[in-house]
Amino acid sequence: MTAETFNKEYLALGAQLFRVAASLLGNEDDAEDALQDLYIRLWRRTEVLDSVRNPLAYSITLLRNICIDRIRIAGRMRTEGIDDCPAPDASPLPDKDLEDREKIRQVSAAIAALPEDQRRVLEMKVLDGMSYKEISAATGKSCVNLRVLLSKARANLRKKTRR
Amino acid sequence: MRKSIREIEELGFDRLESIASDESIRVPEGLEDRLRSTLTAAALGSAAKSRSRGKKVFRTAALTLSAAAIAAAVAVPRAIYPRDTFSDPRLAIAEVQRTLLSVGSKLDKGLSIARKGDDSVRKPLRQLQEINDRLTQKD
Repeated sequence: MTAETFNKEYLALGAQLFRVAASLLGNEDDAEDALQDLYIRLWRRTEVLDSVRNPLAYSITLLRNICIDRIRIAGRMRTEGIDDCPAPDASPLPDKDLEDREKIRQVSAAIAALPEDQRRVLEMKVLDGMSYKEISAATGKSCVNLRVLLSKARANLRKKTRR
Repeated sequence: MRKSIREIEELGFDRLESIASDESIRVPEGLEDRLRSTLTAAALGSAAKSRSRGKKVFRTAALTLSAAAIAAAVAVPRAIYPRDTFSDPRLAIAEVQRTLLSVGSKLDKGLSIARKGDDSVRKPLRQLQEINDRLTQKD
């Protein structure tokens, strides 16, 4: 599935999916977190999305499962006191995926904090897969200017995520 | 208010679909921008991972080739030059035969190391090629 199709068929569903998550989780912050998890999962399986006939139904089903998982985890954390927690060991985290998602959240926050023009160019290049020529036509900026903006954006991201 | 797991499980798809189109539920401003930032971060993460996978492949190849070169450098001079000179031609012929056999066996060993290295390089390269094919198909 191309980035353009993904944006048109899935990203455009953001508001509708948010309403479902907010209604199930009863909280806007949790709903947005669940929605971010959903989109990361969708992005990682773009190769199977081509065979999905109803993107809304597919996304709602995935989102519903994500919400159930979150409620289950929150319930477990409430019922287990600190004394019940097993002692931490040196083995790697059981959920490597969770660690990855946490990193994605950090980078995502850094991207959101970039100056508007840098963020836009970075998203067009990385997420939409547009060429410099296409971005230049969309933004009216020269290719040299775009390269400078992109380089600044990457440098800013490195600085922000290293901290 | 947060629903219980049972309540969610009992909700049919039709109900969830009608919630999705219920415009009375407020959607926070800038949601789509934040989702785009999340997806960009995910895409940057995948690109970084495949770059580090590529680096690993080339590191393995370089190590294998260096090991083969060192083995050859150590083995060949020892095999080529006999330790002594011979006054008896039969002894000289025997020494030449021994040397040739030794060179042959070292060559076999070297080739098998190189073949192993070649396999370990080809597999990830094939995978990278497949990813590339898929990406270019998308365009």
